[in-house]
Amino acid sequence: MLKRLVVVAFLVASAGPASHATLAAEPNQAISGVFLTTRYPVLTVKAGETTTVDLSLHNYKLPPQGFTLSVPEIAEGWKATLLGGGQPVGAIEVGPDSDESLQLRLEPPSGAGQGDYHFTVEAKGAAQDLKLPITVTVGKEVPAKLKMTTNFPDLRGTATTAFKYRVTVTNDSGRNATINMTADAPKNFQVNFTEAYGSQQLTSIPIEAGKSKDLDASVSLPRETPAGNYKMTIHARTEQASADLPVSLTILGQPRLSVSGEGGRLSGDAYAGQDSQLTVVLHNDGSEAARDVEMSATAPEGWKTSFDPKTVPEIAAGKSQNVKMTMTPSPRAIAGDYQMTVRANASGGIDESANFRITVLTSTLWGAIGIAIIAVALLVVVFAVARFGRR
Amino acid sequence: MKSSRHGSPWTGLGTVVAKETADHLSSARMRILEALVFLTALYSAYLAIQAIRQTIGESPFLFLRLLTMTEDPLPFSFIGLLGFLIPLVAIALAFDSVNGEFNRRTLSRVLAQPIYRDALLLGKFLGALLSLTIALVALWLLVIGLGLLLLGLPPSTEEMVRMLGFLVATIAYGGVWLALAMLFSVLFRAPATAALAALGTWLLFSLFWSIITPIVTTLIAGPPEGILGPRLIYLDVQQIIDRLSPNTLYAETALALLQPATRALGPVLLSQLEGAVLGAPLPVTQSFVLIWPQLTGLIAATILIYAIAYVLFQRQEIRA
Repeated sequence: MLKRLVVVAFLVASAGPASHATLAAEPNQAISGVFLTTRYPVLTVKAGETTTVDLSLHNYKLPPQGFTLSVPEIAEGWKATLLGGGQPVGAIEVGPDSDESLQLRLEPPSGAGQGDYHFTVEAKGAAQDLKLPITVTVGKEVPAKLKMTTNFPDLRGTATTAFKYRVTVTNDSGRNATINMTADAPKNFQVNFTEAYGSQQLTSIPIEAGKSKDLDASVSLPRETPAGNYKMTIHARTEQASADLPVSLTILGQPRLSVSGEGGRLSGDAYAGQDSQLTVVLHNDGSEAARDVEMSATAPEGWKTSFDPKTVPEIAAGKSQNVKMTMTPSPRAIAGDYQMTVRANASGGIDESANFRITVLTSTLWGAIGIAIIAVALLVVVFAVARFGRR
Repeated sequence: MKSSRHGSPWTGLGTVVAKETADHLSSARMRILEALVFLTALYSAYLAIQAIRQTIGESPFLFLRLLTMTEDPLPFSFIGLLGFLIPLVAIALAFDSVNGEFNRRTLSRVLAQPIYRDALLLGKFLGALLSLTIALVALWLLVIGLGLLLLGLPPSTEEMVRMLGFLVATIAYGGVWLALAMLFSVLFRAPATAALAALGTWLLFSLFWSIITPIVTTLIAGPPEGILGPRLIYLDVQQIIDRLSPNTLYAETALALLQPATRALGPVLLSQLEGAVLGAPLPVTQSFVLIWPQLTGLIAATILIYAIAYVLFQRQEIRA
């Protein structure tokens, strides 16, 4: 040691003032020993979060030596693990003038409250016993919280109505979160989420801390849904929190009529000036009975149409009713296809119609008259033969 | 003139028909006429086929269009051509049927056989009609064959029924002109006069009738236009006069049969069209109902003109 200092003094003497600065930059020439350090021995963490503390073991000017590592003081319930190079380690060796880094992983017990928790890390070597106290303060944590509200939780309409709930989702937690939207709906009900005034369907939506977003939950349901009150729940979930919003739908029964011919045929024949019958089938495939169904027809000018019965008092849901239509085309109607509209009006503003194509045939009476004319002409010949025939 | 007949008036009818038909079919006159009709009619059908192949993709009545389409450079469609040429053929077949025999002094010789005048006249008429029918059926089959060959698809049943009706109407139309030419050949001793009279009638009906009709109609029913537009009575009278011409009857028959969308042939009130689906084809039976008066009119006219010719012939002095 003395010999080395002499050499340095010699170097200082020969190099002059410029070399002196180099010597001043060597700060630890006076320090020697092994030290266990950490940058922040007292730190604050969020509750429920695993914390990693970086440690460092430094050897100044001493020969390589080994240390046994341990954590003798652990706050109650916590779990402390020393990691080196990513693995749990129990001992460490450090060479001269070098340092080794370590990590102390601290896992809090569930429900660890606020307060200070003390830990001590010990590195025990042949000559030294190094101790490093660490204090972890669990700070006040803002709990993750979601809020979901809607202005109109109870909607009413028929099975064909487009139901839409305007839902406001608020992220009341201290952190940004991605919120998954789901819904518990009765079978065959379909709930789709879209951003308010948007059309793109979504399953999750990011919301910044403290902000809120409006979503539309639109419900489509089968047309055959029976009348009744249906309960649904809309869920918003993040990993930490969730919110539920119970909503309800009141479905009103609705009759739905269809007008067609027998076997779905929408055509028929009729003779000009003569009565013809056509069977019109009224089918109610709605969810409630259709009442006071009144039949009417729009036919070309000069046509007569009547229905038997003219009004049907009630057609139960899922039932059909045959109505006989008697139509009389105008006697002057030209042969060929005509279009007529058959309409069924029921109470509740139901107005259904179907276009029928009626082929008007003309009477073959004129055919007989034509043949009679030919017969008369032949009679003339016969008469001429009888009168003028020669022997 | 009370007399009883010995034997059937039909005696010898078959012989006369066979002889007349044989004469017609082997005559140079018939061949020239056939060549004329066949060439023009087939040419018109061929032009129509070419046009159909190029322009019309799909139509339920392709074969019928073949008969009704008018294509450059011909000014006529197939039916127009037949309506124009068939009277010519019929007249050529019959204008000298009776007076020719008379002038050759063979009439007394024929009637010296056990053949009544009834049988002779009817036989001559039927012989000419048979020749005309053979020619027309051949032409009809040729056109269908041409259509099959060049269009490559068969006609539907409905088309065949309509075309058969058209063939019958064409034969009946030819019958009217045959009977008329025969009437003139009974009436006039000189064949040239008879031919001229028949051709004059043909020209009258085929060319001048459309000029005469409005004049006569105006004389009978007054001006065509009233204060409120066309007058219905004028249209009705015009139609009646128009239909006195066998050409009109034939043209209407052909139109209604070969263009299935034809629903009426006379004037139609707007109120009658309300609700009508335009362009929809009429069922075959309804098309026949539509043209039945025209068709029966043609047949009845044939019979009546024949009856007149018959009466005149029976009353004629034939010894010369």
